[in-house]
Amino acid sequence: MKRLSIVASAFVALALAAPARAQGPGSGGDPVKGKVVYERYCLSCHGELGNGAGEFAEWITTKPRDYRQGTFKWRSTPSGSLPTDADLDKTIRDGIYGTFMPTWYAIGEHNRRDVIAYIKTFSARWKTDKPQPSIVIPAEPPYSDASVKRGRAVYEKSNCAQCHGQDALGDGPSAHELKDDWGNPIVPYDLTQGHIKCGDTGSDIYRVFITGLNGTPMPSFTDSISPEEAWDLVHYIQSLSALYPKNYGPAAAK
Amino acid sequence: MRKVLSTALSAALLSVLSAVGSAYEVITVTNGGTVQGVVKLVGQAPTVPPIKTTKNQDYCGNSIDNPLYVVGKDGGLKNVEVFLKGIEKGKANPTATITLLNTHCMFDPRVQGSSTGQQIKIASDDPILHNTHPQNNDTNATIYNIALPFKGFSVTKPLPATPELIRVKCDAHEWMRAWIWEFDHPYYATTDADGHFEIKDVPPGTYTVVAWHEVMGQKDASATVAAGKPVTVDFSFTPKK
Amino acid sequence: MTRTAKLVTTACGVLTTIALLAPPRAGAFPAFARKYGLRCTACHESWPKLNDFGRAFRDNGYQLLMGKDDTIFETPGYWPVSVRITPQYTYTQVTNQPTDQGTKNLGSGGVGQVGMDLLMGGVLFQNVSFLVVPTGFAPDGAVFLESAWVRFDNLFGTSWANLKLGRHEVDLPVSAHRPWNLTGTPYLIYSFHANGSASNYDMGENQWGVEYMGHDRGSLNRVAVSVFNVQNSPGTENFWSTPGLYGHATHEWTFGSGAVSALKLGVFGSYTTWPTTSFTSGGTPIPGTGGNLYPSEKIGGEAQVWFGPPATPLHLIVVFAHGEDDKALIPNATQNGTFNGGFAELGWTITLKNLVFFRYDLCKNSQQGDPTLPQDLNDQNAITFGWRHTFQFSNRSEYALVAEYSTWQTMGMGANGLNTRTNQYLVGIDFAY
Repeated sequence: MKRLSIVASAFVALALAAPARAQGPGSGGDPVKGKVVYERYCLSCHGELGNGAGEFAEWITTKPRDYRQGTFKWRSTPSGSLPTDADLDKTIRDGIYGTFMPTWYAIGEHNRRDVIAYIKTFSARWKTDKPQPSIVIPAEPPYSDASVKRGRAVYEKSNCAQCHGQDALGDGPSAHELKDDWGNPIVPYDLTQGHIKCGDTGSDIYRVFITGLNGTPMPSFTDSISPEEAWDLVHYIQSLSALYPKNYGPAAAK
Repeated sequence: MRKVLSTALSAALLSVLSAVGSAYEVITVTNGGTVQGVVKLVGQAPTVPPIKTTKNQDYCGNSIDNPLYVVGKDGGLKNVEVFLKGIEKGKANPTATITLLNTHCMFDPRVQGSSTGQQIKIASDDPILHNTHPQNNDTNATIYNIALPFKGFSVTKPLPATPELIRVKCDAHEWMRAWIWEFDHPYYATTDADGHFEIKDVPPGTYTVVAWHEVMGQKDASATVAAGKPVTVDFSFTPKK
Repeated sequence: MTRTAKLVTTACGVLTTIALLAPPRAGAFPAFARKYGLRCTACHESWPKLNDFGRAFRDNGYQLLMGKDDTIFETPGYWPVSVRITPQYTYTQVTNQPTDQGTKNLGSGGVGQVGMDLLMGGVLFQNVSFLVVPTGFAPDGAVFLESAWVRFDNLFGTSWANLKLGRHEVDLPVSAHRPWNLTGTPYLIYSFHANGSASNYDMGENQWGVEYMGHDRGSLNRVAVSVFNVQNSPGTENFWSTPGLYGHATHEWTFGSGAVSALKLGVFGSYTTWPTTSFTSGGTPIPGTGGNLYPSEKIGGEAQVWFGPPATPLHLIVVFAHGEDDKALIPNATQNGTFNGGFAELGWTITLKNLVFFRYDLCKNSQQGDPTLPQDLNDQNAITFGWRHTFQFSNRSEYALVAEYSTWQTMGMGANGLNTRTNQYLVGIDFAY
């Protein structure tokens, strides 16, 4: 028993003493090892060529990401930019609610880092372009009825209803005939569902309308909505369903 | 080792690429020539039904004239981008900010040229939400996607760092379309209502002149520019029936 | 019964067991792959053993928890059924068997009696999962419910409260239903008892009962406790007649870089009972009339280390346990019987389609209940190694070629107190659809 515990602590020491080449979540992976990770977990939907046309893709409606353009919806970076490694890690780690993209939390950071390095080989954009700096999300003010009311005014002023509808059900006048960059039909999100695909915390929601969703009709409102207005709008959206976790600011963000 | 090698390789590749192609060199151009001409549409412009608006009809109206073929005096064709292909040296790029206006549920101008390093002012005159969503025409890659939620809103953004043909859409009003040609040089012009274009201060030499129309594609011509003199290059497009 | 007679009976029993009972298998479930569009490699390190993602999926009640688990999101044609069959050729040789012609080595070979597992499982509704596994279907016609349970997942909105009701596999360090080998050598420590013990409790056998299970995100910390009626017990008056308790807790560390990608340590233990008396009819015990329950206990630990890239790991598993059977369970015993044992298993997933594995099992009596018997009587050890080559896998099905060798030695239980050794050579195909 004692010998075993010595062996075990040796393993722990070995693992901890390993050179700290990691530069944060998702960074510094090995694309060669990442290819195996991709084949193990990702290929059946995203396809051997990284074109989002794996063997399961035709059976599902939110289509798997095509990696060849280097266009990604969920980012902390400004509209049009590549995502950061940490952004990709978050998407892989937490999954995309309501789609067949599961949470890959359990496969661990090591696997995710390697597969991110491999995913980047599908688009030449990763060689010529760099992600712009992440947006700064200020601390969340308290959730309050007054803030929700102001948020509704921002919703109206910003004409969110054009796509998302007067009652945020995703049924605005421009809701139909929308297409994403790959020509697939896409609908504005029904914000009353209580789940946002890329995360439900306040800062997750904040990020969506400030950065926009690349490859989709959802534009960036960074130039037309101030940070204060943005938090009010977050609170308005959170008021639409009891399922949203409230007062879950960037400090507490997972 | 592999990483070092691939870095070295791509560095080598890059330098080769830049040596072969696109590096544009700024020189002082005195007494340059001018490339000018008219782009004409041969025969009758095809009948294009007006755009039927499907949303915000209270503001946009029920239909809008379709600006695919805008033909003026003597068959002159508007919105054709004419440029000197692959010109390697010449005057400095303009630095003024170009404008793309969302007005009456359309983009204005429909076609324009620009040079790398310029900025673009995206503005809206309409009291409805537009979004301006430029994409690389070849790869479909989104350059950015900006919301213009209310009347009088404007924002100035840089153009992409590398020259490309940019296709602009408004997802909220799927009929809206604009084209921005971005070059690494300043030698381009967009035809006016009568199909005229004029490209000034061209260093003497022989150039390939290209005329591009969003539906009818592009045509090439060769032009030899002499110092201080205009050279006329006319183009004619025949629409497919 | 004389000692010789008993030895002969035991030896014949061992032979019969090996010949007829390949370990129950239930380990690969392509119906899940079809439902979620994932390849088998998403959940299996090398099938049928689960990887981290597969364990988290199972611990979540066969759910990905992304709003797509409820069966109403499936096409109406979806039917959560999988089939697993393992046609194989096995040659078995058992040494030192008593025959009328003297002590002989007995061998037999042939195409195995191919049975089939029907695996039906998934979710009935969100957070209500189930598993039903009828197994058998061999030419002897026997079909029985190997598993049949319903599980209420994430009670009170927390992953630390899951309740399983029905016949289930207790939360073993390494599932007895997911061995890499197809030969008849099970993880010996799971069923081992002190020499002569009447208790037939096998940790690897599924039990009728209730399991509480809790885990954190990604199942890095897990705890499970099962309360059950010991399977195969002759029983007492009540259905709930021979109670058993099993518990298991683990913690796993994952590392972002370095030679060790994950390390898992755990403890487990069981306390089970077995009747020592019963009414008889013509000398034969009448089922359900047992009494005078006496306990068997096992307590142990596990260590699992994953070396190398986590997608193609070299996986080392060490499981060890100390056990004790009450002297009342052992004929002629004057003291409790105790033993130590365990196994070390090494599996290397060289590529997603190739696995080589090696296992060493060892169980040793440390105190014979009957002190007059040799200390090592009925000690057992086994070596199993093999290669699995998966020809093909998709998000629908998979099949693999398997080549294995295993040798299992039992001390002093052959003719004239000789040791016996069972050698098995196996070539087979493992199909799951």
